[in-house]
Amino acid sequence: MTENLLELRKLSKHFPIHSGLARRVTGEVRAVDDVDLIIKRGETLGLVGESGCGKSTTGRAILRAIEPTSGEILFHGKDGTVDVAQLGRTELKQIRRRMQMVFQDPYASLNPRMRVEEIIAEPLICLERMNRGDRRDRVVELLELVGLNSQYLARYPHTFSGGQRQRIGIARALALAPEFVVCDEPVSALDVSVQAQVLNLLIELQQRLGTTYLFISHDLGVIEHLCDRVAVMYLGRIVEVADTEALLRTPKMPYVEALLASVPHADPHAVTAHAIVRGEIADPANRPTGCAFHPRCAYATEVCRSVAPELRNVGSRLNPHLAACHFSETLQLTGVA
Amino acid sequence: MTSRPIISVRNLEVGAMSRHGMLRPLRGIDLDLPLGQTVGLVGESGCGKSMTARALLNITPAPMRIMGGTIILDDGKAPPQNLSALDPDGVAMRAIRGARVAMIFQEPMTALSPVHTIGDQIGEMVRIHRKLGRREAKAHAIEMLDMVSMPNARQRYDAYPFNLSGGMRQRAMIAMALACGPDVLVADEPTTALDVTIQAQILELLQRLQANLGMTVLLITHDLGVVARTTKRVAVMYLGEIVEEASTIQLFDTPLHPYTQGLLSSVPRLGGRRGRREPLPTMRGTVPSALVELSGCAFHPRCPKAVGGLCDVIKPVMAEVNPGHSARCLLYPEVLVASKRGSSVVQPEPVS
Repeated sequence: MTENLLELRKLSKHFPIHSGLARRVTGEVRAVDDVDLIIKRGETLGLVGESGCGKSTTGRAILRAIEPTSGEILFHGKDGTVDVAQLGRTELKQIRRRMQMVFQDPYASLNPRMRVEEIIAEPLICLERMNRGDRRDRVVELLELVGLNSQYLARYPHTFSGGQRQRIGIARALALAPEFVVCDEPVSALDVSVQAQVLNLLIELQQRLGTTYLFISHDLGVIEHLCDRVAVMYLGRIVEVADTEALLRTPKMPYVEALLASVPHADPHAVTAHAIVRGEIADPANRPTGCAFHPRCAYATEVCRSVAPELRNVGSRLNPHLAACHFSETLQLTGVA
Repeated sequence: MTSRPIISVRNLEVGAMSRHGMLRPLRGIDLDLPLGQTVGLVGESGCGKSMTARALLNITPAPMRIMGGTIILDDGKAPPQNLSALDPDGVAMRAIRGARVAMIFQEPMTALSPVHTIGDQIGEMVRIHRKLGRREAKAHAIEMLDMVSMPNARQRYDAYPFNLSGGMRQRAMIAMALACGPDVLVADEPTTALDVTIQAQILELLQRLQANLGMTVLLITHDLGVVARTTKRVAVMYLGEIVEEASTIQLFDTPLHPYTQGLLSSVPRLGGRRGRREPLPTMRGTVPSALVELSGCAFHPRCPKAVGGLCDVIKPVMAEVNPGHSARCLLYPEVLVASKRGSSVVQPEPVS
């Protein structure tokens, strides 16, 4: 049994909506709404969903890159458990040694005025007592780890391609040898030929260093390739969590079925499934009653309009498969062949 | 192939002089769009896909301009015309653009005017091209919004782009492009900015309209899944050239060019039977810039199959390798023969 590294309990992030001249608060966007999620040590957990569903906000809230509104973020380290949500400034700094992030946009996430050496050394300067020589050795080691030449130390980010920049971003995230890394769409901005290089690198580094990943992506092909388990979000809530294989082959929540059917297969022989979802993604400021997916769901009934389904285990005790749907047991949903 | 081409592009070159030398985003494109079919154009960013789309409408962004080649439009409405020879701002080109050849763009938020209602923007098309009055234009615009399955078309007539979601904006842009009943629609990454469930809706809409209206569509995308789902023929671009052209089934079943093979194998596909975390095949390096001039085959520095002394010396031409399936790769004897015949490259003297 693998132990849990991170446990989210009722994690929420609500953004206020201001309107009118007085900028009074007139509503709120529940970007992340009571999210419960477990991340096991050494695994890659995929977090999937369409834009605006709250997946990036969840990732950032875990690191407290944005402040969560409420909830617990339990980090089970070797030296006991801490609630990241409750930490003060200095303790938070210490825990960030162990949790880091790789960002989506390799153009926006590197400071254009800093040299590669300064970028990668920054976490070391902030959090590690190291003399100059050791620091430089560590930076060179990191550059080589991500497959870049140590001659690049004095260069600025603009002289690199997208894939190389993403490698620099990865080196920076790994500088403190963190146990946990949030990868927020790390390959979405890259061309396919470069995307494969970066994915291979992330996999290789994990195998070498035993890092735990929360891998945020909207690309289900990438998720399938990389992740042990997958969690799907819709409108700020987790709607299904299961082992990758189980979730893709036998989804238990109609939204997940629709999501899988919407992915165009790179196979011209494939018969296009017409389980295409109606309607638009709902507005998180104006959440539908009951199950948030009901206005688009082909199977919705009266109960779906009024009662919000809980995320519950519809699999076995040993092989949990969590889904938030009233009819998970009775619906025969189609997954990926 | 099956039907005659409605647009026939030959040796199309687009370029501009820059401080750093000659920029050549398009380096001799040959492409036929058969009447009533959807042709896919794929490649990575910077390969010239969007430039091809823009060149077809003669709207290359300044200072880029068409330097050579022909774009023959033969839609039966008028005698065949060479679009590349027309003045981009001239009356003749403006009468074709939007009316007979229309385009939809990747990002509907930037392609639509933020200060006009979508109804006005759609109506403007028929007011200009068909000289309809305001009332008729409005009726037509609402009809178009209905055709693209815009929910509450009548009310949405008065909506501004910022009132609409991404999917609805794309529907509005499609309505605008189709307002004059063009024969050819150039769709430049029409679903890239959309989420998958919305992308599926828009692709289905485009397919339905294409079939109902008998339109010819050039679909530009980097997503091989979108190509497989919606096209019958595909052309693959690399560094301003088309490197492979085939029926979609041929291309996916037996890709010939090493670049196409690399593109197809490096993408983790949903439901693909690859082992989890098994290393993905990669391509070395990245797409070179449009400034680069390479001897021989443009792909040779990145090609895993490149043969020294051949691929870096002889410039390959497109040649048919299998029936209806052409490639620009010297590893195929048909291409090699055609390239040696066609090129003026002086063969190195044999060492005695």
